[in-house]
Amino acid sequence: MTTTHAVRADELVKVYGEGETAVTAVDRVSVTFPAGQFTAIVGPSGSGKSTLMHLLAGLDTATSGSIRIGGVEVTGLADRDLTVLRRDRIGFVFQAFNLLPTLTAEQNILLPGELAGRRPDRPRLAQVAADLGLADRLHHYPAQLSGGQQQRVACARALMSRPDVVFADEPTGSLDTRTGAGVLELLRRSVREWGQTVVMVTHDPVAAGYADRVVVLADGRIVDDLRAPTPDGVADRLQRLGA
Amino acid sequence: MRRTGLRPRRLVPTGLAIVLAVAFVAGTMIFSDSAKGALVDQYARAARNVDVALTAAPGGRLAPADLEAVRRTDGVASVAGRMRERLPLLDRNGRLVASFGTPGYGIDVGDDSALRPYDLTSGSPPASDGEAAIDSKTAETTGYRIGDSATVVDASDQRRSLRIVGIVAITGGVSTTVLTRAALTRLTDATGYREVVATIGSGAEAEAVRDRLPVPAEAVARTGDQLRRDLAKQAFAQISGLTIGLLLFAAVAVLVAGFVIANTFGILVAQRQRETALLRCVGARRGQILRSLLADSALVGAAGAVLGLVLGYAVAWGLLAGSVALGLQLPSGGLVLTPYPLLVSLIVGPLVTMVSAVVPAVRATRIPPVAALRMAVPATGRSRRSLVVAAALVAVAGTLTTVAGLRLAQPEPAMILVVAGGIGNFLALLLISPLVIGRLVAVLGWLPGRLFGVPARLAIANARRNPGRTAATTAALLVGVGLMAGGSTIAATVDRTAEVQLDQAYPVDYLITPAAGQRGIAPAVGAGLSGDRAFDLIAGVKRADGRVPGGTVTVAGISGAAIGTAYRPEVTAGRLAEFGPGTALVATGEGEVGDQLVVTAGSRKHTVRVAALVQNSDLVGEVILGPGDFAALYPGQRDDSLILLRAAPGTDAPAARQRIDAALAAHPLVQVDDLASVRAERGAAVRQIVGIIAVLLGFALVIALVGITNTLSLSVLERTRESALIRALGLTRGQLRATLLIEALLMAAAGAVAGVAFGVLYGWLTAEAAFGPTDALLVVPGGQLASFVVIAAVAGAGAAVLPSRRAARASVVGAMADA
Ligand SMILES: Nc1ncnc2c1ncn2[C@@H]1O[C@H](COP(=O)(O)OP(=O)(O)OP(=O)(O)O)[C@@H](O)[C@H]1O
Ligand SMILES: [Mg+2]
Repeated sequence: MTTTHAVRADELVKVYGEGETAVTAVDRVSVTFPAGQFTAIVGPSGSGKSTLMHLLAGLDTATSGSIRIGGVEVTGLADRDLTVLRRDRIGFVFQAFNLLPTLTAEQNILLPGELAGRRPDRPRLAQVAADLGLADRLHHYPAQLSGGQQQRVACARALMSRPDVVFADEPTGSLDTRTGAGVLELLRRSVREWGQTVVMVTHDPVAAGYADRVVVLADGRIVDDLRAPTPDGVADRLQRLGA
Repeated sequence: MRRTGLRPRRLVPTGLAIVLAVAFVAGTMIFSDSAKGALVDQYARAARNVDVALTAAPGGRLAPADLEAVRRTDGVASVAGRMRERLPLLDRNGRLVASFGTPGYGIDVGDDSALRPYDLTSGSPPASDGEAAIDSKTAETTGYRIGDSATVVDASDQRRSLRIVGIVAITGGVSTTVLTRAALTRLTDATGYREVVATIGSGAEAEAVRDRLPVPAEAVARTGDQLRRDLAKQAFAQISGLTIGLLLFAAVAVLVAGFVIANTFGILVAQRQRETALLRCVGARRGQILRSLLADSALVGAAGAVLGLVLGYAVAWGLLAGSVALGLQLPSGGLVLTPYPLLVSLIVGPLVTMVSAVVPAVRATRIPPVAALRMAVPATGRSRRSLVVAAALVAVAGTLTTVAGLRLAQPEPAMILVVAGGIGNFLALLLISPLVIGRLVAVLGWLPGRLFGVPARLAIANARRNPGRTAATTAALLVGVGLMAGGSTIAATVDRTAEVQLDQAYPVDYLITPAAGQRGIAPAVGAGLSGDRAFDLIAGVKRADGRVPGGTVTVAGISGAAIGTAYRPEVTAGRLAEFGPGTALVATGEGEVGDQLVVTAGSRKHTVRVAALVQNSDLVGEVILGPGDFAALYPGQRDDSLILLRAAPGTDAPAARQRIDAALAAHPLVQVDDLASVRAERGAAVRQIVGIIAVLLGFALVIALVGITNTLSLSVLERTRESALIRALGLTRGQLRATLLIEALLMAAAGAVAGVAFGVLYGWLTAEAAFGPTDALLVVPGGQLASFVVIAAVAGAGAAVLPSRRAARASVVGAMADA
C-alpha cells in the first residue's frame, strides 16, 4: 500500500430521484479512513449512513465526487472492474442474510477467494476459524447455525483475505446484546491484532463505543468526528441531533 | 376470499404452458375435422343424387335382371348400373401403372349423367368402343393427354389401344379408365354391376323405397343417406391413424403442460407459505385457501384455453400445410371449425390447470398457522422412504409386464405389454427422480465445473438445493425427449433389422412379383431373363397352398442352385447343403431335422425329409421343396410366383433395369422391385417418420422449456438477496448470468440424458417385441440422440436467458434493500 489511507472520499454526493422528489442522501462528504483503524459511522435514521457506506464500498455509484480505495480511484470504474475491486480489496459484513444457503460455512468463507481464482489458504482458514470459534462448525450449512454463528462466519469471510477494508452495515442489528458484543469484540481484535481497517455503520451507541473513532452523520453531512468515543458520549451526541 | 397470495404476473408462464397445450389439442382437432370434411366432400361424389342403392357383396356382381327389378320398384324414378372391373393401364413406356402394386380399374360411362360417380373435368365422355377417359391423377403421373392413345391389357392378356377423349375427377387411389359399357364388357369379359343406384320420384320416401327393393343374396340395400354415411366412415378410416397419432402427441403436450403447471403452483405455494400461514393465523379456513387457489388456477386455465384456441387455428393451418408438403394426399379445402374443438379446449384448459394445481393447493392447506412465525425451510412432501417404496413397487410391476411382453411370440400383444411396462417404469423413474436428479446434475456438472469454476459450482448447488423442483422441471423434458429417443430408436432398429433380414435372405438386386390380382408370372419371363448375360443369378420361386400335419402352409418350389445364393434363409437347425431332391426346408417352427414330412395338396400326398429348419420368410413360404418335389404335388403349375434376380458385376443399374423392362415387354402385369431403391426409399421414409415425430414432440419440448424459464424466473425472485450478496462479494454480472444459464443447461441436460437412456431402452425392447421370435438388431441412432441432448441443453440455456438477464440487471444495493 502506497498510502496510509485505506479509504478516502472527496466531495461525495448522492442524489436519489430527480426534480422535485430528488433526495440528497449524501451531501458533499469528504472523509478519510486511515489504515488500521476501527471507525463507526453513526447518525439518525435516514441520515445517509447506509448510502455512504454503499458508495465507499463500490456497491453503488456516486452522483459526483471521488472515492479512492487502497490508492485506486473507484469512481468511473466499470461494473466489472468494480466487482473485481470488491472481490479483492473489500470485506463485507451485513446486518443479516450474509451467507449463501447452498454453501457450507467453510465454502462461504472461501468464496471470495475462489471467485478470484486463488487457492484456498488453509492455514489462514484454520487460524481465522479458531480465532472466531468456528473450528467445529465449518462443515455446517447456514441453516444449521445460530444467528451469532452466522455473523461470525460472515466476519471470518470478510477477514479471510486481509482486505484493504472491511465494511460492516449494522453487523449486530439482528443479534442479542451478548452475541452482538462478541462480534464487535472480534472486529476490534482484528484491528488491534492484525492491523485490519474496519468501517462500521450503526445507530447503536454501545456498538459505536467499540470503535477508535466515530463519524456522525446528519442529513447527509458529517456533523462530528469523535476520537476514542464512549457509548455515553455517542448517545449524547445523537440525542442532540434529535434521533 | 380474494387474496390468495398468487400475483397474476407470476401466473403468466402457467398460462403460457396451457396456451401451448390447448393450441396443440385444438389444432389437431381442427385439422382432423378439416381433413375429414374435405374427404367427405370427395367421397360424397360417388353418392351424389343417389336416393337408394343396391350394392353387391364384395367380389360379387349384380345381374342385369337385378337392375331391371330395381327399375320396376315402386317409387324409383331413374336407375344406373355401375360396373367396375380390373383393367390394367400401361404408361407410355409400356409399364404397368400401379399404386402400391395395385393395377387400375375400368368403369363404365354410366346410364344417367346425374348418377355418375365422377366429374368430367375436360374433354368428353367416351362414346364409342375405342374411346376412353382417364382420371386426372393418372393423367398427371403418366403424362397422357386428350388425343393420346393409351394401352390397356384385356382379360386375355392382350394389349388394346384406346384413344383418350376426356379427363375425369374421381375419388380413390388407383388409376381409373372410363369406357362405354360395351367396351368395358368386351375388354374385361365381365358382366354385371358392382352397384345399382337410383333416384326416386317426388313424393316417394327413400326408406320405403329401399325396403321395397328386391335384394339378391348377400347384396345390401341402402338409402342414399346411409351410403353417404358409410362412405364418410370409409373416408375417416383413411385418416383415423393420423388423427389418433396426432391426438396422442396432443396428449403428451397436455401431460407436459400439467407437469409445468403443477411445478409452478408448487413453487408459488412454497414461496407464499408465510403469507398463507399468516392468513391462517388471522382465521382463514383450509377450505378457503384451497378454494381460492383452485379458483385462481381455473381462471388461468380458462384464459389460457381461449388464447390456445386462437393459436390452435394457426397450428391446424400449419398441420394442413405440413401434411400437404409431406405428400399426404389430403384434398385441399379450407379449415373447418366445428363446436367440438371449442368445447374440448374450454374444458381441457381449466381442467388440466386445476388438476395440476390440486396437489400443491392441498399442500398449501397443510401449512400450519405457526409456519408464519418460523423461519424454517418447508419440508418437502412425502418422506423419502414411502417414495422409494412406491417407486420400487411400480418398477417391479413395470418390469414384470415388460418381461411378460418380451416372452410373447405374437408381436401385437407383446408390444402392448412392453409399452405398458415402459409406462410403469417411467412412472417409477418420475417418482424416484427427486432422489437421483441431484446426483445426475452433479455428474453432468463435472465438466462445466472444471471449465467455469465458481459459477458452475454455484449452479450445481442451486439445481440440487430443491430436488423436487428440479425433478419436476426436468420431468417435462424427460417425457418429450424420452418419446423422441424411443421413436427414433424403434425406427432405426426396425429399419436395420428388416433390411438385414431382407439382405440376408435375398442377396439379390431385383424382386419380380405378379401385380395385384394376377396369379403368377408367365414362365416365358424367367426363360427370357435366364439367357441374359446382364444377370448372373436368377431364381424362379413357385408357391402354392398345401397342408402339413401342423396345419395349412404355403409350399414353395425353388431350384437347389438358388438355395444359399439367391435365397439364403437364416438356418436354425441342420444345414442348407443337405437340401436336394426328396428333402425340404421347413420354416413352420415345428419338427426336427431328419423328420419325414407329409405334404398334402388336394388329393396328392408327397413325403420329404426335413433337411434344415429355417427362419420364416413371407416372400417364399413355410415348406420349401426342390422343383421336382414341387411338381409332384402341383403338376399343373407353370407360373412363377416370384423371380429373384441379381445383376452381374459390371452391369450398372439403369442398364439392368432396361433389360428387365425389355424382357417384361410382353408381360406387363408384374411388379419389379429394385431392392436398392426399396432400401433408399425405406431409409427416406424412416428419416421422414423421425422428422415428423421430432416436429410434433417439439411442441411438448417448447412447453417443457417454458417450464424451465418459469422455474428459473421464480427461483431468481426467490434468490434476489442471495444474488445481491454474491454480487457484493465479487461475482460479476456475467458470472451471475452464467450461473443461471449453467443451472438451466444442467437441468435440461439431465432431463434429456435420462430421457434418451429411457427412450433407447424401451425403443429397443418395443422393437424386440415387434419382431417376435426374431432378434431385433439394436441400432442406437447416436447422432440423432446426441443432437436431441444438445438441442435440449442449448434450448434449456436459452430458456434461462430472460431470467438471468433480470437477475443480472438488478442493482446490488436495490436487491439487498427490497428482499
Ligand atoms: N433508493 C432510494 N431512492 C430514493 N431515496 C432513497 C433511496 N435509498 C435511500 N434513500 C433516501 O436517502 C436517505 C438516506 O438513506 P439511508 O438508507 O442511507 O439512511 P440510513 O442512515 O442508513 O438510515 P437507517 O438508519 O434507517 O438505516 C433517506 O432519506 C432515504 O429515504
Ligand atoms: Mg441504513
